[in-house]
Amino acid sequence: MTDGHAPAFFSDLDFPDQLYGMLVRSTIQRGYLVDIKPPPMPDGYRLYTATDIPGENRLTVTGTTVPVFTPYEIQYYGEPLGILVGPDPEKVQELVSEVLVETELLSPVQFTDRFAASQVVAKRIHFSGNADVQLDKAERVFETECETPAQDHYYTETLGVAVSVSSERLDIYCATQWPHHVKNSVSAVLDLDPAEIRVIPTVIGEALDGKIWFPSLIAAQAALASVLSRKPVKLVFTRQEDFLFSVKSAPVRIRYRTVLDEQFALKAMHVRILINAGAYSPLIDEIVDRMTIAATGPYYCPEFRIETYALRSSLPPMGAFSGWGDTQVSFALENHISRVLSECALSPTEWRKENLLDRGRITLTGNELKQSRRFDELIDLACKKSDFFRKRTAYELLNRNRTTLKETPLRGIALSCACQGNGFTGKNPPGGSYTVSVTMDTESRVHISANVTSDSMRRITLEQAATILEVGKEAIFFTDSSTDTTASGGPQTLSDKLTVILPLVEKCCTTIQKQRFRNPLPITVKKTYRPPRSEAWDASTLQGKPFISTTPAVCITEVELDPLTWTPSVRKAWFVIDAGKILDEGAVRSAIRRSFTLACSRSMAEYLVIRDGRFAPGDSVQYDMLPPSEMPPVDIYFLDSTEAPRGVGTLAQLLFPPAFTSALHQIIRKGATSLPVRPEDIYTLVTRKEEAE
Amino acid sequence: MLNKTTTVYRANSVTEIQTLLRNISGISVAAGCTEIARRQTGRALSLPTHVLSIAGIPDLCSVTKTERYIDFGACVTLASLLELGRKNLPEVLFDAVSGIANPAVRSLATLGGNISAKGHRLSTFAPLLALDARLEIKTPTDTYWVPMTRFFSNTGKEQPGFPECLCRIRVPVEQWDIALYRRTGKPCLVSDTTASFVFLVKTQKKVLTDIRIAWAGKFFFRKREFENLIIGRTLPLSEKDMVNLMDKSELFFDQLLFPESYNRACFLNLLEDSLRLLT
Amino acid sequence: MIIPFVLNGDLVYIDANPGERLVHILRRRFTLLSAREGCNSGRCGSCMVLMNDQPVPSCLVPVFQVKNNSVVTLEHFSKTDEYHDIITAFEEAGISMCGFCNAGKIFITHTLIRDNPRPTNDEIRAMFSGNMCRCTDIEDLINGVRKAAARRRRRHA
Repeated sequence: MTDGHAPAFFSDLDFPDQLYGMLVRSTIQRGYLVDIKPPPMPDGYRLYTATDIPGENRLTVTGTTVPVFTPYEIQYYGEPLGILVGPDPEKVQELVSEVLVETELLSPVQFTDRFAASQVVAKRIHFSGNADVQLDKAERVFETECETPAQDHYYTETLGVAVSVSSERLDIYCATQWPHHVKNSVSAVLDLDPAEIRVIPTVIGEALDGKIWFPSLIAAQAALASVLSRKPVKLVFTRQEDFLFSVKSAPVRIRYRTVLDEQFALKAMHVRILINAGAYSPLIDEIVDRMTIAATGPYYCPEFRIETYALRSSLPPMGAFSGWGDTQVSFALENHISRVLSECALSPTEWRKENLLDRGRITLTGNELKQSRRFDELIDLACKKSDFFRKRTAYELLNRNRTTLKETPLRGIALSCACQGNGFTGKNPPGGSYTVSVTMDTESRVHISANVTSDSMRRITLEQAATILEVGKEAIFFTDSSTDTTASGGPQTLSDKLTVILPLVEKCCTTIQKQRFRNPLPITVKKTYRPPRSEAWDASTLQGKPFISTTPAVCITEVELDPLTWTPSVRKAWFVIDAGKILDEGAVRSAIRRSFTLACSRSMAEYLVIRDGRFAPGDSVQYDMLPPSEMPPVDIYFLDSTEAPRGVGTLAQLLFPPAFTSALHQIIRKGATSLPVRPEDIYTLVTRKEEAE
Repeated sequence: MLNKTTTVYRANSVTEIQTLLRNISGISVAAGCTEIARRQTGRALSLPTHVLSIAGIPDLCSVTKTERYIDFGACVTLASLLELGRKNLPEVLFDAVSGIANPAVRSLATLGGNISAKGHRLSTFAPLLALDARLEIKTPTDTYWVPMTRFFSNTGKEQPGFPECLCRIRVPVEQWDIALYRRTGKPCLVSDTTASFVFLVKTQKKVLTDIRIAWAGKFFFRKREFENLIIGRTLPLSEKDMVNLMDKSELFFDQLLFPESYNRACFLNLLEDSLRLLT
Repeated sequence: MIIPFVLNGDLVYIDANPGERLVHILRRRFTLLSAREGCNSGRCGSCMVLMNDQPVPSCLVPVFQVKNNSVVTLEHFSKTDEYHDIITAFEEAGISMCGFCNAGKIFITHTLIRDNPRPTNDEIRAMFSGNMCRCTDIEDLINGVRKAAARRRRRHA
C-alpha cells in the first residue's frame, strides 16, 4: 500500500542512460518556417521535429488545438520547432544555439482596440434589455477603462518533464493539474494505446492554474524524443526559458460604461472586455464565459450588454491565472464602482447594500437567487472590525482639504465586494467528470482514489472519512495519484477539491458505512458528480446556475502613501467571508493569507514587459515579486454557517486589488486603472494631475 | 556560455595580490562574486579569463577600529558587518547594509564588491560617500589611499580599473547629530528606481558645523558647494532659509544627475524633509 | 581546476570549471538534490546550503569559491537534532510547503534560532526576505519558527 504522496519533483528524477532535452525555438515573432538546419551532431545527439511525429501534431484542449512542433506557420517568438536531445546537457545547449532556422517574416498580429473578425478566437455577447439605448439617452455616463498586464506564475520549480521508456510502457513524470490530459495528449501525438502510458504527477506546489494544459505540451515533446530514441528524456526549462515561453495570465483591457437612475441605482451597463489570447489560448472558452458572467459582479443591473472578445496576437500562449479571468474583471468592476460612488458622493456601503444581488433577485444568468448572500452582514462586520466609517470620514476630510501631498498622513480606506465562483461553468470539467472511488479492504483499511494532492485537503479528507467510517486516520490511505489508479477527469482547479471531491468522498464513505456490517469486505464504492437538475446550465445562452457554489466576501483595505517617494504601503486589510461550514479553520486562513500575498504582489509589484513580442521581467533579469515575509497585516473573519463548504482560494485576488486602488484614489484623487501600481506610477499620476490643474 | 579557459588565482596575502596583478595581465579581482552571478541567467557563470580571488585573505576580511577611524577590509561580508551591531558602525552604513538583498546573499556579498558594482551604484555607496571614506588601493607596485569621490566616476572609466585592487575602506569615526539613510525603489531588488540618500548633520551650540548630503543610484553625487551654503548657519533654520535652499537645490541638482524625473523628485523630497529637521 | 573542499563532513576533490554554479555541482556530481535550481538569483532559497556555517544561496556561488571551505547540505543536516527541532515544529505548526525550497526555510530557521534563541516576529520576517515562494503562509512560518526556537531552548536547557 502507499500513502499516495506524489513522488518528489520531476527535476530531481534521473534515469540510467538518460538524455537531456532542450527545445529548438523560432527566432521570429511571426512568419513561415522554411528550413531547420542542425549542426553536425556527435553520436547520441538527435533533433526531432514535426516530421518525426507519428500521430497528431497537435494538442487538443477544450476544442482548441496547439501544435506540438510548428511545421510551417510560426505564431510567436520562441514557438517550439523541435527538440534536441543528448547525454550532456551543456552540449545539448551548445548544439541548440548552433541550429540554423530559416524563416520568412510576416508582420506580427498586434493586440489593439480595433481588430479584424479573423483575430477573434472566442467571443461572448450577453445582454439584457437595451443598455446602448439607455447609455445614449443618459445625461451622465460614467466610464472607466482598466488594464491588467501579463503576469508570471513564477513557480519555484520551473516547468519540465521526465520521461522514462521501456518496452511495455511510457512513464511520464511532471507537475500537472490534469494528468489524464497529459496521458491522452501523448497517446494521440505518439499514436500509442493510452494503456501503454502512465502519468505520475509530481509535486505541483501552488499551481495557480498555469499547469493545466502546458505540461501536456512539453510532455508530448519529451515523450516523442524518448520513444524515438528509446531512452529516458528529461526536459527542464531554465528560469529565463520559463519566463519567456511558459503560459502567462492573459493581458486584459476592460471598459465599463454605466448609467445610474434617479435613485442612483445601477440602471444600465455596457462592458467591453478584450483579452489578449496570445497565439493560442486553449482555455479561452471557459475564460471568456467566466469573465462575461463576472462582468456585473455581485451587483444587480437590469439592463446590460457585455461584449467579451478574445483576440489572437503574436505572443506566447496565454492562459488562466488563479481565477480564470474573474480577478481581472473584479478589479475593473470594483474600480469602476468606486469611481462612480466617489464622483456622486455616495456611501460605498449603503449604495452597495442597495445594489448587491440578494434573495429574490435575478442574476446576470437569469437565475433567481434562492438564498441570501448575506452581504449586509459581511459589510457590517467588515466596517465594524476596521472602523471603516470613522476612518473613511477622517481620511476624506484630510485628503479633500490638503493642498499638497506633503501634508501627512496620506491615508485612504476603501471597500470592495465579490463572489468567488466555485467549479467550472456548467460544473463539470471540460472533457470529463469528477469521479472518486473508496475501498474498504478485508482488514478494514480504507483506500481513497481521488485526485487530491494538497496536504491540507488530504488532511481534511482523511478526517472526514475517519469520522464517517469510525476508523482511525492511520487506517486511511490515498492511492497513488497516477493515471493508472485515478479515474479520468478534469483538471484540479477552481476549488473542486473542497466543493466536489470532498463531498463525493463523504458519500462513498457513507455508503460503505451502511454496507460494511452487512456485506463482506472488500467493498468499493465509486461516485461521479452529477450536477443537480434544478441547477441546470445552458452554456450556449449563459442561462442558469453556472457554478457549484459561490463564496461572497468583502474586503476593506487601508493604505498609506509615503509622501517622499510615493511608495504605497498597506496598513491593514480585513476580509469577511461567508465560506460555508469551515472544516479546518487553520487551513482556510492559511489559504486566504497566501491568496492575499499573491494579490498584494500582483497589485504592487509583478509585471512583465513585452518588447518585440517577447516577455521579460522588469529589469530583464529578475521578476519582481513580494516574498511572503512582506505580506501586510490582515484580519480574516468568517460568518457562521452550516452551508456546504465553499472555496476561498481566489477571494483575496478578487477583492484586494480594487480596494487597494480605490484607497489610493482617496488619497491622490486620481485613479490607477492598471496594475501593478508602483511608486513611479503614482508619481506619474500625481504630476500629470498637477500639470492638468 | 561557460568560459572553459578561466583560470583562478588565489591570493593568500596582500603581497600576493600585488604579485599577481603584476604578473598576470588583464586579471579581474573577485571576492563574493554575487554581483557577477546576479546578472547572469545561464546555468554556469561566465567568468573573465583570469580571476584573482581575494576572499580568503585574513587582512581583507577584518574590521579594525581606532579612536579616529574604522578600517573595513574589502572582503568583509555584509552579514559580518551586521553582526558588529548598530552601535559599532556608522548608523547610516548599518541601515544601508540591513536593506541589501537577503540574509543568505549578505553572507556572500562583500563591502568592497558592493561599492565597486558597475552600472548602478548599490546601497553602501551613498553612506560611504557621505562619510568621506577613503580607499586603500593596491597596484602591482604601489599602495595608495584615495578619497572615494576621486576614485569613482559617473562617466568614463569605471573603477577599479586594471590593474588595481581595492583592499580597505577607511571611514572616520565621527558622531553625528542627525544621521539619515533612505532607500528608494523596490526593497531587496536593484532596479532603475533604486537609489540611496544619506543626510548627516553635526551641530555645536546651535550652529550647523557640518552637513553631508549624498545620493547614489544610476549616478552618484555630493555637492559640496550646496553643503557649504548651509554650513555655519544658525539653527533652527527659518522658513525663508528653507525656501532659499530649496530654490537653490533645483539648480544644483538638475535632471542630468538622475535617469528619471521620478528619481529627482524623490531626492528633492528627501532633501527637503531632511532639511526640515533643522527648522 | 581541482577544487578541494569539505562536503557534509568529508574532504572531497572535484575537477570542475571554476564558473559552474555550486548548486549544479552538488546536484550533478554528488546527487545532493536538496539544493534545487529555482531562481538562479539568490532570492528563492531553493538552493540554500551552509557554507562555513552560514546560509548561502549555492546558485550564486561559483564553485571555485568553495575551495578549502566547508559546505553542508540538507541531506547531512537532516541527521542532526537541530533539524529535527525544526521539522517537528513545522509539522506542529501545520505549515503547508511543497518542499521545493525546504532547504532555504530550514537553514534560515536554523541560523536564526542558533544566533537568536528568542526571535521576535519582525526578526523572523526579516530573515525570510530571501525565501520567495507561492506556497508559504508567513504566519504559519513564524509560528513554526517560534516553536522550533522553543524546542531548541528546551533541549539545551
